[in-house]
Amino acid sequence: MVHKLEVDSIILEFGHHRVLQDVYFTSETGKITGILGRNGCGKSCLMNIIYGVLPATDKSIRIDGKPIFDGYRDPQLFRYLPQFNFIPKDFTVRRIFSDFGLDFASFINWFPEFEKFHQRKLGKLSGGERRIVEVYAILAAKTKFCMLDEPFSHIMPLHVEVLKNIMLEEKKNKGVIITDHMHRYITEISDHLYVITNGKAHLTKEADDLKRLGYLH
Amino acid sequence: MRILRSMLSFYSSFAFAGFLLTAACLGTLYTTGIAMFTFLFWIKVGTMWIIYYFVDHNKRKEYYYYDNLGISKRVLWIPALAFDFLVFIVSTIVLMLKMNGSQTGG
Repeated sequence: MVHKLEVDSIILEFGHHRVLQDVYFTSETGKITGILGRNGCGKSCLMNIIYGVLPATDKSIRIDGKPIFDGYRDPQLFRYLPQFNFIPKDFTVRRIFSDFGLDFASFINWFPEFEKFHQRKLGKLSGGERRIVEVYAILAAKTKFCMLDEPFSHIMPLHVEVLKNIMLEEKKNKGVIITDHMHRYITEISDHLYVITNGKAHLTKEADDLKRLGYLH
Repeated sequence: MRILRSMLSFYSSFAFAGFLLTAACLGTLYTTGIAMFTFLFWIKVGTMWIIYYFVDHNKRKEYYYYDNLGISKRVLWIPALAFDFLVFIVSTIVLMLKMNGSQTGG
């Protein structure tokens, strides 16, 4: 079944500074929606607003036409990967996969070198390995929409390619919203690409739009 | 089961501090007598607030893990603090009864 997420009228202000103004975008099952923007333009804030953990001045978030207020309360609707490490270091990989209802064998098919890490605590893994476990847990867990904030940070290009393939596989079952500064990876896999500039989300149609909107030189 | 395990994992990260403070309160109560109970009661409440303040700050990123499992901050904290306080109250009552019993017996 195809689910549609509609985000509109997002307004975020910090004091007199308006970070996001009247942002609109959509995402749906089977599509990857990329969001690009300069540092501090409000990409992470936008994801936090959709997830429900950051109050906005105004917002309207709907899934299949039904308003959603606190997305974080229901993992069947949203899963969210923040841009920082968020899984407790003393949890084993096995425990994490159990918590998210994931099959470790499927993970090993993608990353055979992780087989030896099954019983290992997350804190004993390198930064890149830790990030891969975090991205996979959010990406592969059952949900309608998953939001990934800088999933490629600290990950080597070989593994980024694997993660991109997992995203293409997982989008069959969910809508994926992704933001990262590695814009080439994002543009390669995104079905829809938005650039946030001057507080607004602009849907891009061609590569030159990134220059026109001031994201690239 | 998953929720209970997550709650236990979360509580275990600061349970030792809670038990240590309860033990210190009980030790003080044992040596100074029941008259100190009100003071120790508020000491326990105050230290629980301090534990909450520091743990909440240190674990603010980890809340995203529990949110992704559908477990809110409130579900993590309320049972943990309630259990910690219950241990304090029950152990205080047991100690008071024993102190009372030993005074009556003597």
